[in-house]
Amino acid sequence: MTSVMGIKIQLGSRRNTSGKPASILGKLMTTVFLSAFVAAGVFFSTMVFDNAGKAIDQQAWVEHPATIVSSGIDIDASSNEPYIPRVEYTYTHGGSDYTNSTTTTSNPATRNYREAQAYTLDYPPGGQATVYVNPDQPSESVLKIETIASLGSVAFGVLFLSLFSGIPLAIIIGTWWPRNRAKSQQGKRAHAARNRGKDKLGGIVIGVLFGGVFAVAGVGMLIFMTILPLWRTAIAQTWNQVPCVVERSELLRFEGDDGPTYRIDILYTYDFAGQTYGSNRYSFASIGSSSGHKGKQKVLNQYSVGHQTACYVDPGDPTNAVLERGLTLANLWGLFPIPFAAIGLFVIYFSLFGKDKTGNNWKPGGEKQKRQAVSEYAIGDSEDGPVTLDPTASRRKSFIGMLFFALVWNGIVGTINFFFWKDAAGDWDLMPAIFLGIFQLIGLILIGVAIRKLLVMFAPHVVLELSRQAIPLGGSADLRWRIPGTPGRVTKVTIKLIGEESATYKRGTDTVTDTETFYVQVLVGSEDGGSVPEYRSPGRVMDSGDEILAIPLETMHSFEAEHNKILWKLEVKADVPRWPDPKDTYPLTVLPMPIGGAS
Amino acid sequence: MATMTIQLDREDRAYVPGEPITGRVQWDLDQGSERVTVRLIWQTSGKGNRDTGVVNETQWDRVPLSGERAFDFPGVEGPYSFSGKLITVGWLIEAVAEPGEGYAEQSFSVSPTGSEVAI
Repeated sequence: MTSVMGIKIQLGSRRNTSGKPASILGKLMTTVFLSAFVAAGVFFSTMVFDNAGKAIDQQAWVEHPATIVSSGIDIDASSNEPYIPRVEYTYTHGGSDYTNSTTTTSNPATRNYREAQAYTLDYPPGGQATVYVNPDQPSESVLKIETIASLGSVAFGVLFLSLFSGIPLAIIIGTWWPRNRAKSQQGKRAHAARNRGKDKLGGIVIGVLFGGVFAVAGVGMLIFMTILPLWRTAIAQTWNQVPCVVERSELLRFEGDDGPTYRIDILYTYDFAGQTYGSNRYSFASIGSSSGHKGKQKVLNQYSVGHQTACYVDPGDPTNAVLERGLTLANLWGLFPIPFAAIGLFVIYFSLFGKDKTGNNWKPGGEKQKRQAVSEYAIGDSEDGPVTLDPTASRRKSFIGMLFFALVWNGIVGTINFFFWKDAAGDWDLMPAIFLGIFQLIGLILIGVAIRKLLVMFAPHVVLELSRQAIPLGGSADLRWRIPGTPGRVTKVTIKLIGEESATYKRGTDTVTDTETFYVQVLVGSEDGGSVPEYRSPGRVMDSGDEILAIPLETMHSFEAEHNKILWKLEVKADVPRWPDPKDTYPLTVLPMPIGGAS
Repeated sequence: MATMTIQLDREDRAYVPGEPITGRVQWDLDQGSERVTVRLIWQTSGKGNRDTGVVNETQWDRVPLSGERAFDFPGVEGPYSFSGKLITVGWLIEAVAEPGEGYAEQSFSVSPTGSEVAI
């Protein structure tokens, strides 16, 4: 069984952690979930095979010399792929002359002017070219056929189908495949015992598969939406600035399920090295289209038809040009794939190198024991020397983590709010405004929490020192506490020894951890919050103290398995007037009693 | 039907830490098995998902259909058997025959008093 983004995936024939076989519902959920991957893989592979099939058929077509009659680019103003390369050519086959204008079997219309321009540059009027003629129907011909790319696409399709569809399909089959089911309770327990630890490999495969999908998609988008645009922006700083004229300035509209999206299309022409070129690239931000048209209309107003401006041209390839070579707000979309890539890589890493799931390690914090097949216990651990305790959560890391989260949240929500209200310009919808308002309110709360954590960072810190790192049951250690810096700020210190059970389990798709305190002893201060004279006196506050930390005998030692834990800790709270009161927790290791009695 | 039984040498099945855990496994199988494995295991139960730790194991290969073997596991220092509001930890000896349905288990406790620690 493995967990992906909070969803546990349990294979039908596998056991859950209680040793029971998966239910029919579990198998059905597994089948439905994985079927989506199978269907997607088959769909995409069918498209690839279909296109490759047509291209492979063309390998039998016959080459003929041809003369280019004319070439140019037609503009279909009603289309969202308005640029259509047009190359007219003549050729002779079987003694008959033919005229045709088919460039490829696929639709040559494109929204990228540079792609269309490539045809006119490669096939100038009056030039010679090679065309490919269908021997069964000589009037059918093309200028370009797919060769290696089509075979490569077949190979890609096979690989894609195998991985993306084949593995989930195999898992579905394995889920429902009848097995020698043990008829008796004894047989079932025997089966569970034999499989003890063996389902780890299945969980790793599932985790890597799902993580891989997110990682590939996320990294792919990251390259396309973030890295490539940034790279091109950097390279374009060396390009030549040349005068250009705007020939076309349109706002293209795309209908979608969630409403229309828009893209600007500004076609401009320029002269370079004695030749006229055209381009419709506005900037290097790689997004197809997005909602919000008012901002885009504003850009179009700046670049109206006939407007003379400057563009930037690649001197090594004059067909490569751009109007805005710097970063624009649209580049912020480059942040979008980061969470996908991060989640995918995290799931892969956790599946491969995550905690030992067999539960063999029950000793808290024992890194060296985590890979051992048999748990061990070294009595000598309790004899370690004095140690300064580290809190469970660092105040600085807690603040940095909250600050980062608040910045990301407010950055994303703030940007969306900015564009929403900018494009709305007095004409806005109530529901989206309320929705965005709630998210913005949460963002403000996060900022408040971050500020509080910042203040806590600068609150006095109680330093704890123990005479030994781990204490056995029935044993004791010297506890020294002190407040470095400006102790006068602290009016009261409370230190408690706490023992706590912690149990983690699944509730639906959520992972829940319940805790139950089974032992509390106040070492410093008082339970009811009242002042303790020896730690608080008029005009002076104690800034240090020594205590004996005694662990009771008839209780449970520290225990840490994957889902169940017995935790011991020191909880320290300081009262700081006119300041957020800091509260820190310091983990303790309580060992089983040494053989022979307490020490 | 295959039968397996585990008999611990200690009748009260209450061990103190460090005390060796010894006993015998008897089996009467209805099909040939390649091996019989005996494991010393702690496991949790209660509110949290089950955790299991295999501390030690012994294996006998090419065993006859009926037989008996003694096992001798070194004493363990922990975790203690205990029962709390959320978590329970217990110990058991598990014997399983492969292949087939032969299985047996015998629970016992480990703690300084021999009895389960209650918190």
